[in-house]
Amino acid sequence: MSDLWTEDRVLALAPDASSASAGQGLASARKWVTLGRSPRALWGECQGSGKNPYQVRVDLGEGGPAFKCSCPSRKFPCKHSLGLMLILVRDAKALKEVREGGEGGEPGWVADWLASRTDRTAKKAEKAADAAKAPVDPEAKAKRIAKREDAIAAGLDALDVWLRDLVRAGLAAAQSKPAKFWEEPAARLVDAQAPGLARLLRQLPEVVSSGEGWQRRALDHIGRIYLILRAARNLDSLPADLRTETRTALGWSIPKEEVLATPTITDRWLVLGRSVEQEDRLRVQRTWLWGRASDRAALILDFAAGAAPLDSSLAVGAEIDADLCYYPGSASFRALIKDSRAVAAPTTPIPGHPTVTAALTRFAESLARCPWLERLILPLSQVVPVRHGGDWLLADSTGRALPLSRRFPQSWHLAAMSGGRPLDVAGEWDGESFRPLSIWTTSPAASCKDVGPRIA
Amino acid sequence: MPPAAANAGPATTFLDALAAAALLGTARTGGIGQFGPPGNLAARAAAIPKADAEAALLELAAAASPWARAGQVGTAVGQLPHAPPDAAEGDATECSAAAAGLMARMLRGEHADCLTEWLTLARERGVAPRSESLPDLLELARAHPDIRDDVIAVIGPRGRWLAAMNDAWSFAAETSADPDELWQTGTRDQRILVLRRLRRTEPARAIALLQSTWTADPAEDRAKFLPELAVGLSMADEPFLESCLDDRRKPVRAAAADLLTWLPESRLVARMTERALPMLALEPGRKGGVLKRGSKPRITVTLPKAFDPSMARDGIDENASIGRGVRSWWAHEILSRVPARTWSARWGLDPADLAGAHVEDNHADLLNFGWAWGATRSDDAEWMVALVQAAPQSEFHRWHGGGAFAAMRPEARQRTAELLLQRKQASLQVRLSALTGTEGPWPDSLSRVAIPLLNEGADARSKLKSYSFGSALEHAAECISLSSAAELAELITRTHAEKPLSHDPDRALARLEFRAAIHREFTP
Repeated sequence: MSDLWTEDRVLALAPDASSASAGQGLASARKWVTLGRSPRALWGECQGSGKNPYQVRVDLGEGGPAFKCSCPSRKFPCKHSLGLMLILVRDAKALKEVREGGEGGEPGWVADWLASRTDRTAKKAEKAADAAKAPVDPEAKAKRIAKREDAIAAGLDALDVWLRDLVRAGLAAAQSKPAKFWEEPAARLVDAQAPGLARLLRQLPEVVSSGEGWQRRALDHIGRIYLILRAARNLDSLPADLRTETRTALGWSIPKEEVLATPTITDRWLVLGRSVEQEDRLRVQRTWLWGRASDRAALILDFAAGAAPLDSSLAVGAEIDADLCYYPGSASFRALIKDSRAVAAPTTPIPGHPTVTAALTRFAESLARCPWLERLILPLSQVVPVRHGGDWLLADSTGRALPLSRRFPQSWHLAAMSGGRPLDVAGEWDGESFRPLSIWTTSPAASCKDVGPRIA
Repeated sequence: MPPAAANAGPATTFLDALAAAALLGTARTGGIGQFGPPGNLAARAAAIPKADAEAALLELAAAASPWARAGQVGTAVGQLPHAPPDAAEGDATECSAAAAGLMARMLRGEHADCLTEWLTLARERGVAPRSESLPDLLELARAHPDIRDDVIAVIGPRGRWLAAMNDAWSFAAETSADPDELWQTGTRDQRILVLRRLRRTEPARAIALLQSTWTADPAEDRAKFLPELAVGLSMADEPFLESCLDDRRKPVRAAAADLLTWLPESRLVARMTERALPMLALEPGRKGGVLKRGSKPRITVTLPKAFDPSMARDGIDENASIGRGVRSWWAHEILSRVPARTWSARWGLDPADLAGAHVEDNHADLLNFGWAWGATRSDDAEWMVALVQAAPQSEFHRWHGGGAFAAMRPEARQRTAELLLQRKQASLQVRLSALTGTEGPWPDSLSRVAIPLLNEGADARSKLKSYSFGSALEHAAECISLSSAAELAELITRTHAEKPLSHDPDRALARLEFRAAIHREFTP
């Protein structure tokens, strides 16, 4: 699976820019006493300032990559691990190849670590299974739920009053308000245990200051919040799926075990794109998959606080055979990977929508199921980037086009790769603009370029 | 045009109207009674109770938000713009994935100054960069005009097509335009680029273009155009340049006179030689007694008596002397425009004999500097080496720092450095300075003699100023031919192991590795 690693993907692992550049400096066989690899792992001994070289290990197996280095750095992965990974993508021949495990396999200090990782994974699975089986006190649970429902109801009432005040005084008046003006009602919603709504409210000041056309976007955003508010007050009259979606939008979380207990969808999943965004103090990573046979999207979310690494096991452009469990409600496409097996680079074209109209129809259908859906992955087949009065659009063969997000920084790269000819692009559509996440070309060789936004 | 406006349909228009009401606030605009929503939103709007103005507006917004988002139909763009032609036979082929990886690393700032080497090799091998790197490459060329020609040479039809869409990259787009047409219609900067490009490939066509509009062009432009002729300069340009000596504008005359001094066969140089010959007289040294004083040839200098107006026409400034007499200044100006070999030929002596000659009346400085410039302007490595070897060490540094050696054209300078290194008669410090003053890429022959010199420098490091040796190694790592790269790397590693260098040798070693990787990718 090392062929799925690219320089960009390795550098995206770096916790900060200085680690990335230090890693680049170590990506030379000259810096290493030994270098080796097996089908599962990479390792090397890197001479640092100390007497003994640092022992660096990378596990590229299932659920990987995982890193371990004997250096004292608290960065993760450290510069030595990054340097070792860069050697893999730049000059894999420098790594002495051995087979996996046993006699003539990885050296002892690597093999021991790999074995301990395998053990730990097994124990974790066991523990999770135990947790799922753990008895719950249904009475206490019902009490907790009732208490939270009361708190949310009170929070909704306060929000209702605040929204009315907002539209009575007018959005123009709100534009000049300090941060506190928006933060206070959001904090109240957090206290009322409705963090989902709080998140939407916290996005408002950014929408309000988003420049030309902001009032329309602000009204749209307020409309969405109010729609959830109204749905939440009428929960009992909603169909089951929409009820679940409403609860999710409020911020009720569904335990992982519960999701993993739902029926699995086994398919060959194409990793269409990934984006990472800062939300409050959290980095949120969205990885979009597309089922070849099921012909539907799946969204894998990952969160990390501070300098903690995000899950980097899914490479954009790869295909995995996996069992997925969708979250109940299902209109938001969120899912968990229960079990994944083979990983490969895709051989056939991406299953894109043939026209812009077809893609937008799919979006409209999804909105019908969840009217506050924020965004959806749209794989587009054979579209051409065109420039229209300073802005870029992606046009299909019928002459219909989607406007590219102005926040997408690589429009010129997309145009260069296309050369005025059609290519496949997958990206997020939010109802107003399209943000490319991956670009797929067939010449000279089939390849996928990951252009999803990253934050260090 | 904002994306949403490009998208404007009835849904967006309605949302805009509703937003306008929300902007002012229901306290001022009242309820939603005035809105007649289009399509099936009308039914929903009709069902909203209007008495509570705020609730009604929020209800309508809640309904309109998904309704408008679901109703997007995209923008009709009509006819797609024309795409550049497919790569034809003979066009550059796309570079290997590994070469593209090296390019990407340079564009990210790693070993960025190796970019020219990559581009040069790509041009020689008929290879083009990956299309995805074109925007960054064009952006870099926009910020660094010195690499523009190298970038333009490899970007191919797709790069030119892309550049034509972005005003900031217009420098790369116009190569597709017909040079004749651009010369007639372009701005001054565009016309300068036309000249520069043509001088590399078809110098005669460039000068024909220049002459075609010469009398009509503003004097300011003409003075800017002339220096471009330095590239591809030959005797074919001489008649035109000679005619420019009678131009009405001084900057034009000065530029033409300067160019003519680099053409040893030019009439200007012949006139200078005529002026110079009576200035120097030689009394041959006695043969046999090499070690005795008086065995050297003696040279007597006669300074020009008066300033002839024809000297001004040939580019000599009558009153520009600083810190010396005007007659000595005129003499220097004349001598420095005469090819140095004129003197060795005239007296039938080697440059080394003349460089070491005894000069009467403290005119040694005048003669050495004049000859050095005469050697520079005629690409004369032999003479330059003779002068360097004869000069005291401190003297070389005066020539080197912005002087005659530094002004030599790159090939002549490389030849000079090579000869100097082979003969080993100059001091170690001078030879190292000559090497560091020679830009790369060094030819194989120079690289081969550089290795023993650097070895010698490593051994004598303690006697050298340490900075000069460390920087000499780094400079060598940037310039040396790849055929000697392994030897240089070995030398650096060994030297550092024996006694740590003041510079971290890593930079030089990493540079050598990176350059080797580039060359590997372009070696068939």
